[in-house]
Amino acid sequence: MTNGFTILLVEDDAGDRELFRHALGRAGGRAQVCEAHDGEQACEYLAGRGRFADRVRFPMPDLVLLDLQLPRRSGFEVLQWARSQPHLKQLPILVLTSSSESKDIDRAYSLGANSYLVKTIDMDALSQMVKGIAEYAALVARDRSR
Amino acid sequence: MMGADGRMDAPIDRNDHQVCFYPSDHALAETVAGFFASGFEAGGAVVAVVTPAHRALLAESLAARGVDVGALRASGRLVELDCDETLDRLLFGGAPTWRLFEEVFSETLARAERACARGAVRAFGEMVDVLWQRGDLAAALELERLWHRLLRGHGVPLLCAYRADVVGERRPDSLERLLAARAHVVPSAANLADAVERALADVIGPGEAENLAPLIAANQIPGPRLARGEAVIFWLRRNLPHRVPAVMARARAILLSAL
Repeated sequence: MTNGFTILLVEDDAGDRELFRHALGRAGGRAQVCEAHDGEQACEYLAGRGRFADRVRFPMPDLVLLDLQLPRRSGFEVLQWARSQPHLKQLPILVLTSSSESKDIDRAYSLGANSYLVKTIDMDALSQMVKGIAEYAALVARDRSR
Repeated sequence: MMGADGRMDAPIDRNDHQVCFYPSDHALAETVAGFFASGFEAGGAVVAVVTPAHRALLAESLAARGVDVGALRASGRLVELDCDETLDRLLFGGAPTWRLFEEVFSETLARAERACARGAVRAFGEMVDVLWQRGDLAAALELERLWHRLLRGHGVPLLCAYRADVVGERRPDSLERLLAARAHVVPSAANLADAVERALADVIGPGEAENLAPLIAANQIPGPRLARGEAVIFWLRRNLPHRVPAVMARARAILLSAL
């Protein structure tokens, strides 16, 4: 796994954010993880608006992990908005949600999600999944720098 | 479901709707003959809507498995309908209609059910593929929907075949288009999953591929449950699209070397 890649974690639940960071640490991933705590904040971050204009502190992510149930703007709204922005069309967006309903899966893909992952409380399974996410982010970053 | 030799031998559920992608006529004949043969072995019957060329090939494959095709035809346990003729009967203004569809198949399925003393009826169809190859995706999907509706009532498992090489480059959208069919996708080749996974490891590195594997396995897919190889291809197309040509080329080479 290479270093030097950034993941934007869009998650309103502090416990889930902590769980993700813990799983990433356990998996040996050394990604820089930035956070947005609601859908509006996620859009501001990706657009580089307001306090997120400082791209040194808040770099453009190589990959976004997006919850669906978010305050202010839902994950679906964030997806739809992101795919309407020319500079974000190719940005990998992985949905990470507690919903396994097929209508949500369908909608997420139709709005442009790259992957759809369901949250798990099994720490081993979560660590494996997060390790894969970090590997994927590293590959994306490596490919972009070529 | 396929056995290790690539044949579809395992029991399948009633009401199951499966899709297979076939890269060659030989691959189709092997898969479909396996689906038929296990139904016949259980004492069941088959209703097949086939093209003339595939009808002959299927008869050959069944005979090679020791199935007496002539006797099954004579007893009514193997009912073969010509694909183009049947489509002409179902389409109204270019679209299949429920009334015509039910008219053709309700009686045909009932006759097949009466012909078998035990076991159940299985159905196989190529009409959806014919529509799809003509570029009429709307009619193809409507026909899939009608099959679902009919088979739910009769409790008949259905296998649909699509000519599409999932590791080929000509139809990169094959999988996603067919996801709308809401069917289970059976493996295109018995060793496809191994070939694609090995190819991915060759292209991005073994450690990287190993790390990605749980992520790919955890990915939820709209519509049907995909076989492992197809699931990896689906993931690659959405997540690492620029790596797809290299991985598919390597997978083709691995599959060819195994022939």
